[in-house]
Amino acid sequence: MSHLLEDLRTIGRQSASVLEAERRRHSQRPAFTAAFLLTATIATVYLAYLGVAHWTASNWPAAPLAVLAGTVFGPGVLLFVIRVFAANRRVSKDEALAAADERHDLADRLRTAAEFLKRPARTSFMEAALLDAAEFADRLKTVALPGVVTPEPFSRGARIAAFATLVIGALALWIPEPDFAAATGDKPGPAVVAELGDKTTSEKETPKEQPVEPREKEKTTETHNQQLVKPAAGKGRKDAQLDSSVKKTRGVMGSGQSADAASATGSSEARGAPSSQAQASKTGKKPTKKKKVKPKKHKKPNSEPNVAKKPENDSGATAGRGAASGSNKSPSASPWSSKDQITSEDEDDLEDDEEVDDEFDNSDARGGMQPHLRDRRPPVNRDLGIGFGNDKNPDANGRGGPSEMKKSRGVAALVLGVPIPDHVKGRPNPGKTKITQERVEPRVEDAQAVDATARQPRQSPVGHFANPELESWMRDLIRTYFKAIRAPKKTPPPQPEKSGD
Amino acid sequence: MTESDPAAAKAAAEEFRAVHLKIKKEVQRVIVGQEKVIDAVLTALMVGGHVMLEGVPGLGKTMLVRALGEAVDINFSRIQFTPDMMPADIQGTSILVEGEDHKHEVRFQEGPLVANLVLADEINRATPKTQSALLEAMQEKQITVGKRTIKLEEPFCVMSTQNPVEQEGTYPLPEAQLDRFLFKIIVGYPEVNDYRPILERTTGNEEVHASHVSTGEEVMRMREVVRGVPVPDHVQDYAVHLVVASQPKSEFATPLVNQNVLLGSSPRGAQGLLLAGKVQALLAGRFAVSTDDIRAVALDVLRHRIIVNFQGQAEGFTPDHIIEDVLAYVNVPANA
Repeated sequence: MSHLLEDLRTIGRQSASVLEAERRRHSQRPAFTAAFLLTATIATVYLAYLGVAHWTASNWPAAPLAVLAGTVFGPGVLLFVIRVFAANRRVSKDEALAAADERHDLADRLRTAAEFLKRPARTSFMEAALLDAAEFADRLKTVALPGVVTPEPFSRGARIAAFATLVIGALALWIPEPDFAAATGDKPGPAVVAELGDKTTSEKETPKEQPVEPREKEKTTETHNQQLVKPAAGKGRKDAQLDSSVKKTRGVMGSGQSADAASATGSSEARGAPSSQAQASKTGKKPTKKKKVKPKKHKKPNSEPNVAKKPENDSGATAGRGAASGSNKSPSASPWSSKDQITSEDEDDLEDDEEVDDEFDNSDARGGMQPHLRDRRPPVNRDLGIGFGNDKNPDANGRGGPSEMKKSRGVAALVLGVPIPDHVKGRPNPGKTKITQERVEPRVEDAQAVDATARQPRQSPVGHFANPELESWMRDLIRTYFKAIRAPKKTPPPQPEKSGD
Repeated sequence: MTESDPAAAKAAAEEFRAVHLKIKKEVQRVIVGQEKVIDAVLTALMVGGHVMLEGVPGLGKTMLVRALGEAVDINFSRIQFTPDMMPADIQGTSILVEGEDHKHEVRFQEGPLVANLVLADEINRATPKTQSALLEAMQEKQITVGKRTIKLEEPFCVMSTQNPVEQEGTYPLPEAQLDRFLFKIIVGYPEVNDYRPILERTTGNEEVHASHVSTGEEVMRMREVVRGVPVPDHVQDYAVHLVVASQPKSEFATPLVNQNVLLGSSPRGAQGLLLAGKVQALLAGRFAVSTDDIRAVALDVLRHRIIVNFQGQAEGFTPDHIIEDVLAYVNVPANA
């Protein structure tokens, strides 16, 4: 097996050299991009520096050309070199053999052979694997590792970026330090500084300030008292005027709020109240009672002539039906007898679901383990005792055990577009399907975000209670009373009268 | 096979391929197409694993296992799982029989589970109680009824089928049961070209049956050959990394796994990867398992050991998506 070992070493060396060269090539492209990005950034910053110095007429110092060139191009070159050298690490023998296996499609033969050669004891299958690998290794030791397609280190985009970077860098170096005084035709004369240090001004500046209004002149004077006078002060004043006009315009616009935003906010307030739609569980049984509970108060017969024709539409508890015309599918907005009741295409499917639910209820009556059905509901509690679990059930009357969980009405109705099947208890078939859906197109609303703030506990009473807090003796009295009536043996809870229905 | 005798290893590998091929050809006399499924079923038989075949009705799952039972001269039994089936129905029970001397005695009647190749047809239709009766048989190759323990004769292999649709009234297999299957094979529809021979074989007067071309002893010998295939360290590490990567919040877990997997593979998954990889290596003419072999069997070995959580199900991820992500994410260890 010595020749196999030698062949594996040869293949490993060849593969490692190819892999290292590939890695270098692969690393050049990102290093190149990063270096140019860095150079372009530095050059752009320097150009911005020159621009700011030019527009603000500052006497900022300029570095020598050699330092500038080193500053602009040096970091990029350094970064490129560092990244290329960092990627130039040595490839291990295992990695090289794994790459040879992969690129020659040898299914790990070489790497497996190298591993088996290290083992002191080998089985017959290992020996067979070594012999198998020796054939391939003998054939491959003179074959170079097939290279993968490496990307061009200088792609078209990179070339364009490099050119742009060079242009920006050259521009940054070529633009000389601006001679602001020469540009304006003025030279800053020797500053006359008062002995008291109270006022510093230029000799030629005073006549130029004459057309300035007195108030602005005051400001200018105050400013000049604090800093050196700039030769191009007139230009700065123009900028200041421009700024003030911009500010004025923004102020007129009203803090950036557009009319659209205002209207959106208004509509938001109009529809702010959440819907309190509640499905009437037994609508067919007590239609008149509901009307009595919610009588209409503010009728406007002139403005709403159709109200008398459709009294059901207002009888529901839909306080927040929104700004839209309202859904005539609202479950509580119209009674079952209403002609506006719309039967959708999904109604039949939902009625089928109701039937399935009824089947499930029947299946709950079967004992033992239940198969994998759709609902995955736990079986109904068959405990016939009074109460839930270990706690006493205050609502239990001793007849047939605890009732099942009451369906919560109204909660699902808040989710728009969710079809809600309606159960009618005591009837073999379920009731009609009602669909709560609000046909309002969603709109984006612009509103100011309100930051959450810390709040102290409420100090004053809430609502119409003058003083919600009880005296301690009264609290103890009430606690004692309720503990007494809830005591299991002493005073059992009163049984409700058995009704005949 | 003597130690360090490569010629013996080559001969054993050659014999393995020959046995595999003749059984496969005999099964293919009955089953048209589905070559990958047949290979997977034979792989499980050769390594002593159990198989779950999942596919819609009419794809020949049951016929495949029946043909395999006919091709290999072993004791074959079929259990049609029904919701009212009890553990005693498959394990066996004591019954009252009348002897030759007209005396009655209680005698243990073995159930259909006492066989070499057991076809558990529509296994998810039985209750978990009955499904659990298979646990001991599948893992320990024995069944215990009362105080009686029956050692099941090797080769023992359970091949079950189930239907991915029509889940109403079924009992999904618990994880402990699923983990005992080496493979979960998804049986797909046959190719267009396969329909003609299927129709010719099934609509004529002659019914095609497979003949015995191998024996249980031969299968057991092949199992020894498979177990003798070595696994290099880096391949073993790769299999372990794949299994660990399927476990959420683990060292190698991918972001997809962390977000969408409820339960990852157990160590049985790594065992299955290596065992099935050994058969793959032998069939490919190699003498050691490679990472390609592990990748080739990863889907069949791991898909039933990974449970996608609610979020993953809502986003439409399946265990196959997770495994493909893990395969793409986990690299072969550079240094074993």
